[in-house]
Amino acid sequence: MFGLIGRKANLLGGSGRRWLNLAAATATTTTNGGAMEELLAQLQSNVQKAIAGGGPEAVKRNRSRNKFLPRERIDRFLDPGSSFLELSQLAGHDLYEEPLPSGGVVTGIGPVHGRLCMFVANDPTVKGGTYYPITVKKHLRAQEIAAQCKLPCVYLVDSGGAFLPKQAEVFPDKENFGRIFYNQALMSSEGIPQIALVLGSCTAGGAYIPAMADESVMVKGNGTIFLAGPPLVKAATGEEVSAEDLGGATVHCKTSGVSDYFAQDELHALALGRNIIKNLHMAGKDPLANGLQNINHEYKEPLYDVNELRSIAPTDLKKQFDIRSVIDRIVDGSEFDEFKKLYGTTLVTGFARIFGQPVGIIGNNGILFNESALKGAHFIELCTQRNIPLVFLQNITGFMVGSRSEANGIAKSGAKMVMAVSCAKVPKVTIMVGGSFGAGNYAMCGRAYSPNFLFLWPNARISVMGGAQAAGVLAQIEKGNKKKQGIQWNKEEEEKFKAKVVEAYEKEASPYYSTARLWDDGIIDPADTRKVIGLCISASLNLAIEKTKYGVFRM
Amino acid sequence: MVASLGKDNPCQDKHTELIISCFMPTALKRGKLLKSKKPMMGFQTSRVKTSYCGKGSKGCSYYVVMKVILIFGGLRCVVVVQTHWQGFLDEFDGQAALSAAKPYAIASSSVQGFEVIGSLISADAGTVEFIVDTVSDEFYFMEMNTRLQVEHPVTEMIVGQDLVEWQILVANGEALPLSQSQAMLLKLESMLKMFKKGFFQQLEFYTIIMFQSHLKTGVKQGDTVSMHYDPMIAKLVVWGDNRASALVKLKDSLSKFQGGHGPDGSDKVFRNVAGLPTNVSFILKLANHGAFVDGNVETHFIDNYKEDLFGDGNNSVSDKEAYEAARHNASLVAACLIEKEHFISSRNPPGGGSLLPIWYSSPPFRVHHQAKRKMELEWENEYDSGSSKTMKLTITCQPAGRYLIETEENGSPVLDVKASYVKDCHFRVEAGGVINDVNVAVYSKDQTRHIHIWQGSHHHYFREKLGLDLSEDGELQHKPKVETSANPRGTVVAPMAGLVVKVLVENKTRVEEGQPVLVLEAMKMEHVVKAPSSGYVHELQVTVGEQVSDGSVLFRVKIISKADCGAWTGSIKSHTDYSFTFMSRFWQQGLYLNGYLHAGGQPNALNLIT
Repeated sequence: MFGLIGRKANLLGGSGRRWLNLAAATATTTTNGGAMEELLAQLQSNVQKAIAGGGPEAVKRNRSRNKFLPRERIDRFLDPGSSFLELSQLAGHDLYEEPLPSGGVVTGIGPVHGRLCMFVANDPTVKGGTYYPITVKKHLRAQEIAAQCKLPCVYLVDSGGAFLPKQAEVFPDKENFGRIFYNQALMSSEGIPQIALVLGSCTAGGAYIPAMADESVMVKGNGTIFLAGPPLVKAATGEEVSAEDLGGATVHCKTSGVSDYFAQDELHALALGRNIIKNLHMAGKDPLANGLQNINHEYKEPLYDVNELRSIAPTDLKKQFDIRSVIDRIVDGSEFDEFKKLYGTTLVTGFARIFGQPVGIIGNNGILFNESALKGAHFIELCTQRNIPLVFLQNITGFMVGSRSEANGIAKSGAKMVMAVSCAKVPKVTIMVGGSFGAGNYAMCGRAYSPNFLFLWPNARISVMGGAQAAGVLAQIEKGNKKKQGIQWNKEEEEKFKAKVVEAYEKEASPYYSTARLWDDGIIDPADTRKVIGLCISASLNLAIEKTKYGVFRM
Repeated sequence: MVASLGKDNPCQDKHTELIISCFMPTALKRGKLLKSKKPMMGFQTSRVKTSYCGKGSKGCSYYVVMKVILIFGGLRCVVVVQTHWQGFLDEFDGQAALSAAKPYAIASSSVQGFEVIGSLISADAGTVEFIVDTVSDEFYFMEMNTRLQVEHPVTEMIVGQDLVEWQILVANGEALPLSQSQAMLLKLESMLKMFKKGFFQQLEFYTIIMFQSHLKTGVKQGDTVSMHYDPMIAKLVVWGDNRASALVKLKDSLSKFQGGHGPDGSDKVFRNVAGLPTNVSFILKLANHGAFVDGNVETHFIDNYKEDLFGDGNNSVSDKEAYEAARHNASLVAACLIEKEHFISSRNPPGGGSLLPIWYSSPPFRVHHQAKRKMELEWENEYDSGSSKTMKLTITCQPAGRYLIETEENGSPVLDVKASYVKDCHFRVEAGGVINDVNVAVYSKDQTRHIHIWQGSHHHYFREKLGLDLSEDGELQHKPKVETSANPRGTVVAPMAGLVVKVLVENKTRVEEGQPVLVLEAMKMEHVVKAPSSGYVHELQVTVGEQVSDGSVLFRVKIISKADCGAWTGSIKSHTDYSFTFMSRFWQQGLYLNGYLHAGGQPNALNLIT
């Protein structure tokens, strides 16, 4: 293998471009392979559970009502044979006492008549499609992406509304249920089409989704919209009325005008929905994607097998690996033009293309030093100037600590990079390929820096610092406290205390912990990285890139 | 041998039509020709065809081009079906011709005969047909057609001339490439020598042989098969050193007809017919028939061997085997169609290509699972007419054009198919370790996708109900379709496009149920349109000589009795003894084909060619 890769590099090395010597990566191939396979198997089993929805009984009940499952609905809505970038598949994973597969709602991006749309599809097999707090969060996240990328929103509504037992976490706050409609209104005002297909019940608060939509479709029989269902109506007014008569498609399409299109069945509704998208006319609304002009529709595949990323991914985060081995497997033709290669070497920056789309890549090759942070800020400025989307490959333990570093103004340098990352208006995609600790998470465009998309590898770890370090810090503080109280802490107790902290950190740093809470947009198979980045950037380039304005850089 | 496949050769007819419309303002009717003294321009190319039906009902054809006698002998085996004595498989045998008749004598007599006609109509021409009594050797003038006829490629092959080109030359006012004397001297003499040597060798001598067989067609996808000519869409000419080898080639070409590539690999050559039923399989059956192979051929051949030719045929195929084969083919169909879809959309993404093609790459990307497709294909068992089965397929898209296909059935194995799209309807499929070339043709009609797959000579046909995807054609939004309800009860519509030849009653006439009202002529057949019920005829708008289109309203009958008329759409009773029920079914689909035999309970697409 070594020989082969070496030969490839030699064959292609003549152009002056640097192809990586993958000796280091090859060496880790064997060591990491097994561990990653385990992680992937675990991921696969978790995903299978999530995709299965509310279980065979609920699925059967759903089918008996001539209803499709949410992913099937989306499949039929999409252009035939097209890709679908599903987001946060494992939201709600181990989050509540009861399982909530995919958070009860399927979201993602896919093309309809050649136009990318954001889909939000309730899963009626999961708790009747009701909104748990995480459901709301996932719905809002989808809307956030849609707003950021100007994607028409398609709501495939089949929901019983808010999950009442958890109303306190669902209803009142800013980022709660009400925000969904607020977003719909704002997006609509910005000319981002809001389309709702009422394929099932759409009760109470949920009723506003179709009502707030620009255009809505209702299915005869299954689709109902009402603020209060028949039982509540009876309780409130004594009126006895069937669901269909109260808020069926006929009522809303013929009489109330809440819905615009009458569908005979679900397939008809999906076809009508596709037609609505076909008739959207957004041309001329925004000067489309200036970035797009620079796209090569002809592109080369990477020279190295993308599947090798599985073995390259470090399962032991203490082990250093060359981020270039990742870059080589995700960029077109494995061609990566490195910027400031010899300066601040712990941060790798450079230009490449992914599926013909130009990208600026920033990857970690160790701790961030002063120089690396400055180099990062410089590179981000370059990319924003040129409207080049940024890809962050995070494997970072943090900024260098210690007196020398502080004296050099590491905080100042770090701030520069954070400033650059925050203000950069070009599309940003972050992939956590390893650790993501401390301020490194910030400088490398963590969730707080609103990257358009953020995905994790199954081996990723996110926390403010490593578990062992945290345990050490906490133990020292605790020891100090105990000393003040005059209590002697024996070694055993201290170890126990430390183990507890480490365990908690270990749990909370897990990618599942993160993805269940929507700190990211999903865990991906390393082998899918190239595809996912390509799709994300393509989706982000749906609108013209805004001009970047920076704040005050501390010099 | 000429096998006329399906509809008449429109390429040919196009020329003919052109010339007729340009140069023949007076419609020629049979029998009138000899009397006509009107000067006519037009075909300088013509043929004298002599057919004789003597003992054994063997026919013999001779072809003469006016002023240039292009002669060849032949045994015209007219295998005739129905009452109209139309052949669809002609056989020429030089040896037999030589011994059976006196070609030179007949030919020269024909020329004399033709000169008689020629003197009447001066510069005009046509194909003149004679009947020869083999007992007395007398021959009689039968008819003259002012056009090239179906078998003309044979003439062309023998003499190495392009008669169509001649036609065009003459129509352009140019001279014929050969004079009569040249042809007489060069062709006739040498041909007669060749006749003695053996006709088929001579054939090779005279024709520029590029291929082992010659297929002529001018139709391609999307063309309308017009009602003006015979329902032939292609003809196949094969030749060989002897009858047996010609027959082998015929069978070979026919079996390749649906599944193979053009002889030179070009896709221009018409090889697949989907949507139109053809008689290819019937001709193949015929060519394989023992009696036919033995050369025991005469005009009543089909009648005599009706049982064999229209019978159940393949009883050896059990239902289960047939079903398994269909299931396998359904899987191939699914893989091929999805692969082609990817091929097209990744090169030509919908929405004008503003989107990166990666959104349409194969396999479709899904996060941590594989994209699945469902397909419901309705299969009609060819061996058990009337029974159709729905196959529910689940297709899992895999990398590199591979598809895992499951049938919704217990215990049926998952088929792993690798499909690659070659071009047009050609695919290469790999299933179960076997690589095959298949052709898949698809067309949509009435919210149904009709799918044909050919693998070698095996053919399967599936239907897929299309969802209500309005995006493609907006059918549900605006349907410019004539609703049946628009036509009140008692309305009689034309069951086919045709010419009104007789109107038997007048408006406001009282008619009884089943009483003939008018007669339509279409496809050289007369069809009596009868009253659907007793009542008074009204709104009878058509007149004799009027051309009516398929589905147009002919008249209405005001119903006086309460007899239920049902969904009667105009009863057709052809003059033939065969039932035309299924024929009208095809007409309803807008297909215009002649002569579907309904015999032995199995519809056979059987086309009759002049």
